[in-house]
Amino acid sequence: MANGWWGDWRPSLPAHTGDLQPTDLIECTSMSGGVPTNTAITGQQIIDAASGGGSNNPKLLGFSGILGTNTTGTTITICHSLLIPANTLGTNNILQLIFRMYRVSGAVGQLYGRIYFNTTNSLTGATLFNTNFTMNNGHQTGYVERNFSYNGTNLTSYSNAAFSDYTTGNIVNVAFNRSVDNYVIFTMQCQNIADVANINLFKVFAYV
Amino acid sequence: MSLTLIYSKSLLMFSINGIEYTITGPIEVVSDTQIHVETDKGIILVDDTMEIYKELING
Repeated sequence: MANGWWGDWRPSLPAHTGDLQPTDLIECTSMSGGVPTNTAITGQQIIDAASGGGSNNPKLLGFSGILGTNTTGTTITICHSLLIPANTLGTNNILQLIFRMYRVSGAVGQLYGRIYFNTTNSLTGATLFNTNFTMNNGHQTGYVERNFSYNGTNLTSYSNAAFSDYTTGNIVNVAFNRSVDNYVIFTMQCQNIADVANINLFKVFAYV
Repeated sequence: MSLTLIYSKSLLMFSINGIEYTITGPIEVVSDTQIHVETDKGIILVDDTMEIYKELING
Protein backbone atom coordinates (compact mmCIF):
# COMPACT_ATOMS: atom_id res chain seq x y z
CA MET A 1 0.00 0.00 0.00
CA ALA A 2 2.04 2.96 -1.25
CA ASN A 3 1.59 6.40 0.35
CA GLY A 4 -1.11 5.00 2.60
CA TRP A 5 -3.56 4.72 -0.32
CA TRP A 6 -5.13 1.33 -0.51
CA GLY A 7 -6.29 1.67 -4.05
CA ASP A 8 -3.07 2.17 -5.92
CA TRP A 9 -3.77 -0.86 -8.08
CA ARG A 10 -6.81 0.81 -9.67
CA PRO A 11 -5.03 3.10 -12.20
CA SER A 12 -3.88 0.00 -14.01
CA LEU A 13 -7.46 -0.94 -14.93
CA PRO A 14 -8.68 -0.11 -18.46
CA ALA A 15 -11.29 2.61 -18.83
CA HIS A 16 -14.91 1.44 -18.96
CA THR A 17 -16.26 1.36 -22.49
CA GLY A 18 -19.85 1.94 -23.59
CA ASP A 19 -22.78 3.31 -21.63
CA LEU A 20 -23.33 2.56 -17.98
CA GLN A 21 -25.43 -0.59 -17.64
CA PRO A 22 -27.76 -1.41 -14.73
CA THR A 23 -25.72 -4.53 -14.07
CA ASP A 24 -22.36 -2.76 -13.94
CA LEU A 25 -20.58 -2.89 -10.59
CA ILE A 26 -18.47 0.01 -9.37
CA GLU A 27 -16.13 -0.99 -6.59
CA CYS A 28 -16.13 1.33 -3.66
CA THR A 29 -13.92 1.40 -0.59
CA SER A 30 -15.02 3.24 2.48
CA MET A 31 -12.91 3.90 5.55
CA SER A 32 -14.20 3.56 9.07
CA GLY A 33 -11.83 3.87 11.98
CA GLY A 34 -8.94 3.37 9.62
CA VAL A 35 -10.36 0.09 8.40
CA PRO A 36 -11.21 -0.16 4.69
CA THR A 37 -14.46 -1.83 3.70
CA ASN A 38 -15.06 -2.81 0.08
CA THR A 39 -18.56 -2.62 -1.38
CA ALA A 40 -20.08 -2.40 -4.85
CA ILE A 41 -22.44 0.24 -6.27
CA THR A 42 -24.60 -1.04 -9.11
CA GLY A 43 -25.11 0.86 -12.32
CA GLN A 44 -28.85 0.82 -11.56
CA GLN A 45 -28.26 2.65 -8.29
CA ILE A 46 -26.43 5.40 -10.14
CA ILE A 47 -29.09 5.60 -12.86
CA ASP A 48 -31.85 5.83 -10.26
CA ALA A 49 -30.03 8.52 -8.30
CA ALA A 50 -29.34 10.56 -11.41
CA SER A 51 -32.95 10.39 -12.54
CA GLY A 52 -34.51 11.68 -9.36
CA GLY A 53 -34.30 9.06 -6.69
CA GLY A 54 -35.67 5.86 -8.05
CA SER A 55 -38.28 6.88 -10.61
CA ASN A 56 -37.87 7.33 -14.35
CA ASN A 57 -41.29 8.95 -14.72
CA PRO A 58 -42.49 10.78 -16.57
CA LYS A 59 -40.55 9.57 -19.57
CA LEU A 60 -40.18 12.19 -22.27
CA LEU A 61 -40.97 10.51 -25.57
CA GLY A 62 -40.42 13.57 -27.70
CA PHE A 63 -40.75 17.31 -28.00
CA SER A 64 -40.30 20.27 -30.29
CA GLY A 65 -40.08 23.97 -29.63
CA ILE A 66 -40.21 25.16 -33.21
CA LEU A 67 -42.87 25.51 -35.87
CA GLY A 68 -43.76 22.39 -37.78
CA THR A 69 -45.46 22.32 -41.16
CA ASN A 70 -47.75 25.20 -42.07
CA THR A 71 -51.32 24.50 -43.06
CA THR A 72 -52.26 24.61 -46.71
CA GLY A 73 -55.60 26.16 -47.59
CA THR A 74 -58.32 24.73 -45.41
CA THR A 75 -56.95 21.19 -45.38
CA ILE A 76 -56.26 19.40 -42.12
CA THR A 77 -52.46 19.39 -42.04
CA ILE A 78 -49.95 17.41 -40.00
CA CYS A 79 -47.87 20.08 -38.27
CA HIS A 80 -45.98 17.78 -35.93
CA SER A 81 -45.99 14.05 -35.24
CA LEU A 82 -44.15 11.62 -33.04
CA LEU A 83 -43.53 7.91 -33.23
CA ILE A 84 -44.50 5.93 -30.16
CA PRO A 85 -42.57 2.70 -30.72
CA ALA A 86 -44.31 -0.63 -30.22
CA ASN A 87 -44.53 -1.77 -26.61
CA THR A 88 -43.69 1.65 -25.20
CA LEU A 89 -46.92 1.61 -23.22
CA GLY A 90 -48.00 -1.15 -20.85
CA THR A 91 -51.41 -2.07 -19.52
CA ASN A 92 -51.46 0.48 -16.72
CA ASN A 93 -49.86 3.64 -18.04
CA ILE A 94 -50.50 7.31 -18.72
CA LEU A 95 -49.86 9.22 -21.92
CA GLN A 96 -49.66 13.00 -21.68
CA LEU A 97 -49.93 15.10 -24.82
CA ILE A 98 -49.29 18.84 -24.93
CA PHE A 99 -49.19 21.12 -27.93
CA ARG A 100 -49.53 24.80 -28.69
CA MET A 101 -51.57 25.98 -31.63
CA TYR A 102 -50.12 28.98 -33.41
CA ARG A 103 -51.51 31.48 -35.88
CA VAL A 104 -48.73 32.13 -38.41
CA SER A 105 -50.58 34.76 -40.41
CA GLY A 106 -54.04 36.09 -41.11
CA ALA A 107 -56.80 36.97 -38.71
CA VAL A 108 -59.88 36.11 -40.69
CA GLY A 109 -61.25 32.89 -39.33
CA GLN A 110 -61.04 30.22 -36.70
CA LEU A 111 -58.19 27.72 -36.38
CA TYR A 112 -58.81 24.10 -35.38
CA GLY A 113 -56.34 21.83 -33.64
CA ARG A 114 -56.79 18.08 -33.48
CA ILE A 115 -55.02 14.95 -32.28
CA TYR A 116 -54.96 11.76 -34.35
CA PHE A 117 -53.37 8.37 -33.91
CA ASN A 118 -52.20 6.13 -36.74
CA THR A 119 -49.83 3.26 -37.36
CA THR A 120 -48.18 5.31 -40.11
CA ASN A 121 -47.16 8.93 -40.14
CA SER A 122 -50.16 9.86 -42.25
CA LEU A 123 -53.66 11.20 -41.82
CA THR A 124 -55.03 8.67 -44.26
CA GLY A 125 -57.01 6.23 -42.14
CA ALA A 126 -55.95 7.96 -38.92
CA THR A 127 -58.16 7.77 -35.83
CA LEU A 128 -59.33 11.07 -34.43
CA PHE A 129 -59.32 11.84 -30.74
CA ASN A 130 -62.82 13.21 -30.93
CA THR A 131 -62.29 16.77 -29.84
CA ASN A 132 -61.68 19.92 -31.85
CA PHE A 133 -59.70 22.69 -30.20
CA THR A 134 -60.84 26.02 -31.61
CA MET A 135 -59.03 29.36 -31.68
CA ASN A 136 -61.07 32.38 -32.71
CA ASN A 137 -59.83 34.97 -35.17
CA GLY A 138 -58.47 37.28 -32.48
CA HIS A 139 -56.31 34.60 -30.94
CA GLN A 140 -52.71 33.85 -31.82
CA THR A 141 -51.89 30.86 -29.62
CA GLY A 142 -53.66 28.18 -27.69
CA TYR A 143 -52.03 25.68 -25.32
CA VAL A 144 -53.69 22.27 -25.28
CA GLU A 145 -53.18 19.42 -22.86
CA ARG A 146 -54.72 15.97 -22.58
CA ASN A 147 -53.87 13.19 -20.18
CA PHE A 148 -54.81 9.71 -21.39
CA SER A 149 -55.12 6.75 -19.09
CA TYR A 150 -54.25 3.51 -20.84
CA ASN A 151 -55.55 0.07 -19.88
CA GLY A 152 -53.93 -1.90 -22.67
CA THR A 153 -56.86 -1.40 -25.05
CA ASN A 154 -58.07 2.19 -24.98
CA LEU A 155 -56.61 5.61 -24.42
CA THR A 156 -59.17 7.47 -22.33
CA SER A 157 -59.41 11.19 -21.76
CA TYR A 158 -61.72 14.17 -21.49
CA SER A 159 -63.75 14.81 -24.61
CA ASN A 160 -64.76 18.41 -24.29
CA ALA A 161 -63.24 21.07 -26.52
CA ALA A 162 -61.71 22.86 -23.54
CA PHE A 163 -57.98 23.26 -23.97
CA SER A 164 -57.10 21.45 -20.75
CA ASP A 165 -58.59 18.47 -18.97
CA TYR A 166 -58.30 19.89 -15.46
CA THR A 167 -62.06 19.78 -15.14
CA THR A 168 -65.07 17.49 -15.17
CA GLY A 169 -66.97 16.19 -18.16
CA ASN A 170 -67.49 13.31 -20.54
CA ILE A 171 -64.85 10.81 -21.51
CA VAL A 172 -63.84 9.53 -24.91
CA ASN A 173 -61.91 6.39 -25.79
CA VAL A 174 -59.44 5.87 -28.61
CA ALA A 175 -58.47 2.30 -29.44
CA PHE A 176 -54.70 1.94 -29.19
CA ASN A 177 -52.77 -1.22 -30.06
CA ARG A 178 -49.62 -0.94 -28.00
CA SER A 179 -47.94 -3.91 -29.69
CA VAL A 180 -47.33 -1.99 -32.93
CA ASP A 181 -45.71 1.32 -33.82
CA ASN A 182 -48.08 4.25 -33.45
CA TYR A 183 -47.79 7.88 -34.36
CA VAL A 184 -49.40 10.66 -32.42
CA ILE A 185 -50.28 13.32 -34.96
CA PHE A 186 -50.89 16.97 -34.13
CA THR A 187 -52.82 18.82 -36.82
CA MET A 188 -54.12 22.26 -37.59
CA GLN A 189 -56.80 23.47 -39.97
CA CYS A 190 -57.91 26.94 -40.98
CA GLN A 191 -61.53 27.92 -41.38
CA ASN A 192 -60.52 30.50 -43.98
CA ILE A 193 -58.00 30.12 -46.77
CA ALA A 194 -56.53 33.55 -45.94
CA ASP A 195 -55.11 32.22 -42.66
CA VAL A 196 -52.09 30.03 -41.99
CA ALA A 197 -51.78 27.91 -38.86
CA ASN A 198 -49.10 25.76 -37.31
CA ILE A 199 -47.95 24.27 -33.99
CA ASN A 200 -44.88 25.73 -32.35
CA LEU A 201 -44.57 23.45 -29.34
CA PHE A 202 -45.35 19.89 -28.45
CA LYS A 203 -44.38 17.57 -25.63
CA VAL A 204 -45.24 13.91 -25.20
CA PHE A 205 -44.70 12.18 -21.88
CA ALA A 206 -45.37 8.61 -20.82
CA TYR A 207 -45.76 7.31 -17.30
CA VAL A 208 -44.71 3.72 -17.62
CA MET B 1 -65.72 26.51 -43.52
CA SER B 2 -69.09 24.98 -42.82
CA LEU B 3 -69.13 21.32 -42.00
CA THR B 4 -71.46 19.06 -43.92
CA LEU B 5 -72.85 15.84 -42.57
CA ILE B 6 -73.63 13.01 -44.96
CA TYR B 7 -75.45 9.85 -44.01
CA SER B 8 -74.32 6.92 -46.10
CA LYS B 9 -77.41 5.01 -47.20
CA SER B 10 -75.82 2.31 -49.29
CA LEU B 11 -72.45 1.71 -47.71
CA LEU B 12 -72.33 0.25 -44.24
CA MET B 13 -68.82 -1.15 -44.18
CA PHE B 14 -65.49 -0.36 -45.75
CA SER B 15 -61.92 -1.53 -45.44
CA ILE B 16 -58.58 0.26 -45.08
CA ASN B 17 -55.35 -1.75 -45.16
CA GLY B 18 -57.25 -4.92 -44.39
CA ILE B 19 -59.08 -3.49 -41.41
CA GLU B 20 -62.85 -3.51 -41.70
CA TYR B 21 -64.84 -0.58 -40.41
CA THR B 22 -68.56 -0.49 -39.80
CA ILE B 23 -70.13 2.92 -40.22
CA THR B 24 -72.00 3.82 -37.06
CA GLY B 25 -72.75 7.50 -37.54
CA PRO B 26 -72.60 10.50 -39.83
CA ILE B 27 -69.87 11.34 -42.29
CA GLU B 28 -68.49 14.81 -41.75
CA VAL B 29 -66.93 16.73 -44.61
CA VAL B 30 -64.01 18.55 -43.00
CA SER B 31 -62.25 19.91 -46.08
CA ASP B 32 -62.35 19.71 -49.85
CA THR B 33 -60.41 16.44 -49.78
CA GLN B 34 -61.02 14.96 -46.32
CA ILE B 35 -63.92 13.47 -44.41
CA HIS B 36 -64.41 12.09 -40.93
CA VAL B 37 -66.28 8.81 -40.79
CA GLU B 38 -67.79 7.61 -37.54
CA THR B 39 -67.14 3.88 -37.25
CA ASP B 40 -67.09 1.08 -34.73
CA LYS B 41 -63.36 1.72 -34.35
CA GLY B 42 -63.63 5.44 -33.79
CA ILE B 43 -63.72 8.43 -36.07
CA ILE B 44 -61.51 7.76 -39.08
CA LEU B 45 -60.10 10.32 -41.48
CA VAL B 46 -60.63 9.31 -45.10
CA ASP B 47 -59.13 11.43 -47.85
CA ASP B 48 -59.37 11.59 -51.60
CA THR B 49 -56.27 9.41 -52.04
CA MET B 50 -58.39 6.45 -50.98
CA GLU B 51 -60.72 4.65 -53.34
CA ILE B 52 -63.41 4.45 -50.72
CA TYR B 53 -63.55 8.24 -50.49
CA LYS B 54 -65.81 8.72 -53.51
CA GLU B 55 -68.19 6.00 -52.43
CA LEU B 56 -68.48 7.49 -48.98
CA ILE B 57 -68.92 11.07 -50.06
CA ASN B 58 -71.50 10.13 -52.66
CA GLY B 59 -73.46 8.24 -50.02
